[in-house]
Amino acid sequence: MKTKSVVKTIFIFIWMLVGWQVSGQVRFVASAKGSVSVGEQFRLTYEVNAQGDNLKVPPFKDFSTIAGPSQSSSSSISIINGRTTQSITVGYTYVLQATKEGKFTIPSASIRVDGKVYESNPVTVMVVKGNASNAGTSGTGKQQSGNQSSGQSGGGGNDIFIKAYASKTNPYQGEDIVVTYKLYTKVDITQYAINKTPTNAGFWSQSLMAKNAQPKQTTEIINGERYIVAEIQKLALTPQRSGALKLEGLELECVARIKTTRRMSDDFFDNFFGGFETYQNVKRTVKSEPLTIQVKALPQAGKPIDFSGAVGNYTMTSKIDRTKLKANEAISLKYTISGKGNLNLLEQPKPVFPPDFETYDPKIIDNISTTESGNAGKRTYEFVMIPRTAGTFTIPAYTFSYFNPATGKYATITSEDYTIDVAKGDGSAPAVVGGTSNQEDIKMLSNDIRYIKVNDLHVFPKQPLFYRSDFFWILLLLPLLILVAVAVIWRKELQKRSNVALMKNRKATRIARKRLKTAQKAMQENNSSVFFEEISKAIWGYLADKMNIAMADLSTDTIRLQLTNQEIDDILTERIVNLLADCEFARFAPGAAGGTEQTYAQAIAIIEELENKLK
Amino acid sequence: MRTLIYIVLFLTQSFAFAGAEQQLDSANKYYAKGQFEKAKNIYHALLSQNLESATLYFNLGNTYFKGNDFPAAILYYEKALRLDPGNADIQHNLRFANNKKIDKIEEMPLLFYEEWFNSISTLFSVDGWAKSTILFTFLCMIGLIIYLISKSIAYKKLGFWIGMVMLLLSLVSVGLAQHAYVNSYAQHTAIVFEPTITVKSSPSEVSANLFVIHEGTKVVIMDQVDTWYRIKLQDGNNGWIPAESVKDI
Repeated sequence: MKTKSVVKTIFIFIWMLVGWQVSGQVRFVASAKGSVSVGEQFRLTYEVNAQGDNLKVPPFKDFSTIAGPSQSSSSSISIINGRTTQSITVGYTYVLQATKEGKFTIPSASIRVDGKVYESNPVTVMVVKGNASNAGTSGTGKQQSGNQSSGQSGGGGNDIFIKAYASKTNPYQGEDIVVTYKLYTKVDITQYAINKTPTNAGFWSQSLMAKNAQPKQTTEIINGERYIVAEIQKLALTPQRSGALKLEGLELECVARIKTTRRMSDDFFDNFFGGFETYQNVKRTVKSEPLTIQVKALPQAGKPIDFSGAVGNYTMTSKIDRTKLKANEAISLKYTISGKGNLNLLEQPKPVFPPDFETYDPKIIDNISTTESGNAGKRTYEFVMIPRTAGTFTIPAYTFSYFNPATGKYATITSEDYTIDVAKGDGSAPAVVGGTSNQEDIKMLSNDIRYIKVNDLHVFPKQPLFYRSDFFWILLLLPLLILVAVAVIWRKELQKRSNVALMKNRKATRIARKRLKTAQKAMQENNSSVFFEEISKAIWGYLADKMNIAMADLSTDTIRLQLTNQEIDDILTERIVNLLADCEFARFAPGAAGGTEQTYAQAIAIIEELENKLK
Repeated sequence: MRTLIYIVLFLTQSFAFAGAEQQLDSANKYYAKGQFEKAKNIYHALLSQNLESATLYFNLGNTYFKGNDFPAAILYYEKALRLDPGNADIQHNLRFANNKKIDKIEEMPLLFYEEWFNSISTLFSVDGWAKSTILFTFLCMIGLIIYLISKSIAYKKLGFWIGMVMLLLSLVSVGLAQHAYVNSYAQHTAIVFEPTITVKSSPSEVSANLFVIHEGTKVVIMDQVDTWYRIKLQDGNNGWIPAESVKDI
């Protein structure tokens, strides 16, 4: 019976309509946030457009009920075309907190309006993991600084937190990095102040944020939640030593406008005026997690001797204002180092200047800007020097070594060397080095040098020194040699002489006998003159030879003397003297010839006696 | 024949000397007129003929001094002093020129007997003392010969004493000769001619710098390696400098 069901349907429909017209359309809607994180509080609101009662809510078994229900109502009257329409909305709000992950459905609630019970829609809520690990996977999230996002730290809380990003977490010692602190907030923040800037032990830090600039704000969606992101601090840091350097967290105090949940107040007016949802200004302290930067030490291999800590990429130029000047004038020499890197921390160059150059500390002119990509620009060292004496000097090339983190290698740049020609200064006599004259010098300065010598015009060839020359030694030894020679010769001579005497002595007897023989022969021949001559010769000769008396010295007196010396007795001496006298007499006084035989015998006797007595 | 040659040689030498004396005289006259350049040239001409004398060096030193070339003046005064150490004029001018040099070097002071000994030893030149030594030695020899040969006691005594006295004198003389020699010749001395020169710690351009000396300073050369001299100053400091920066006395 099709017609029957059709009619039934029509009937129900008309009745429903009537019913509606009579009682208006009653709508009962439940609503809540679709996605929350664990621990997060959210509101579950039931709204009905009529005054009702006997609200029956399902048990919120997957959530913990924080507050509720709190009731709010609003009504409005509108008169259109004479027709008055009144509409009211009554809301019942619960504050729930998600306790565990998962997808949960809150079943429908019911309310009675005019005796009729209406049901709401069920609500599905998706609960996800807490904030701390939430944004961890957002490596693809847009970071403003640097290429790799590795450094980050979550904040506490889930609606406000600070994250720190480092442009590089593994820089070289001396290499700039930029650390950005970003504030993430779900709620409005009316004001904030940085309580504690992170301590940067081991870093040299420069702020990249202008003093009173408005922090940059952007929005990000993290796990379905909409966050406002503000860069609150940006620092350019240069690590001064190697190892694991910890950047402490940045602490921030802020005032947030948070929708608070209030219990239903007894006060009617509060309910009425305050409305159900109110905002409260809550002070919140947020701190970022510390960040560890692993600073690589500069390699030892290949480190130039004059490396002084410059890290980056540099070029160097030098400029000198003049190279030819007079003593006591000034030269200006500029070394300009330009590039990217820790320019601010460059060590003052110590070029080697020639001695006798007065030098002064250099003037440093900086033109460095610090940006997100680090320090860049140029620094000029201006050296002024004054040469004090004349001459040609060289300022040797200055070498500047640095470490390029991009290539991981050391590089050295060398300037050119300069040759300086210094002419004698005006005002001559260099007063500087110990030129202070003492008293004595002052006296002499008033004189002049003595005049040339014009009298002695004698010149002689240059000769080597006579003293200690070979000739000198020869001449020195000569007297000695002569002396020795003379001594030797003299000795020999003496010896010879004594030899002669000796010889004569030995021969004496023989000669005497020979002479006596001759005398004897003369006697037998009756040659008395020859006889006496021979006897005389024999005796004289014998005495002379024996006693070593020179012929020239022979005389009676000499004989007497020598005989006495030889200890011959006087009697013999007289006999000898007499004999000799006889002979002389016989020889030179004619006619007085004595007995030759007697004389002969006497002679022999004397000789024999003398033989015995004379040695 | 030989004697003839000797005579000729002697005469030519004399003429040569006479020519030299004339040159010296003319140089001196130029100096008197203030034409120092001309005087200098003639002095140098004489030197290049291998002739020298204390006067020549002294006058040349004066010429350089007048031309404000102090290191050269010092050099030639030192050369003159070698030939005539006791000459007061040379000593004075040398002191004067030394005042003009830049480095003030403290000379180590002498003890009184050293000063006294010095003043005696400068009476003659080194060769002068050498010659007197030879003379005394010969006289000693004669004395001793007399002693040896004479018969009479008196002569023997005389000869002995003469010999001893002469021996003593010759020893003193050689002592003074040696002293003068050590002072003037034994050390290889030179004067710095380079306006400024850096003394290095070893004979190489790239060794460490020790100290700086200037022209006119007198140095003692101790050693030589390649083209470098090891020098010592009068205050004891020593180091290495290139040989061409000094000129020998």
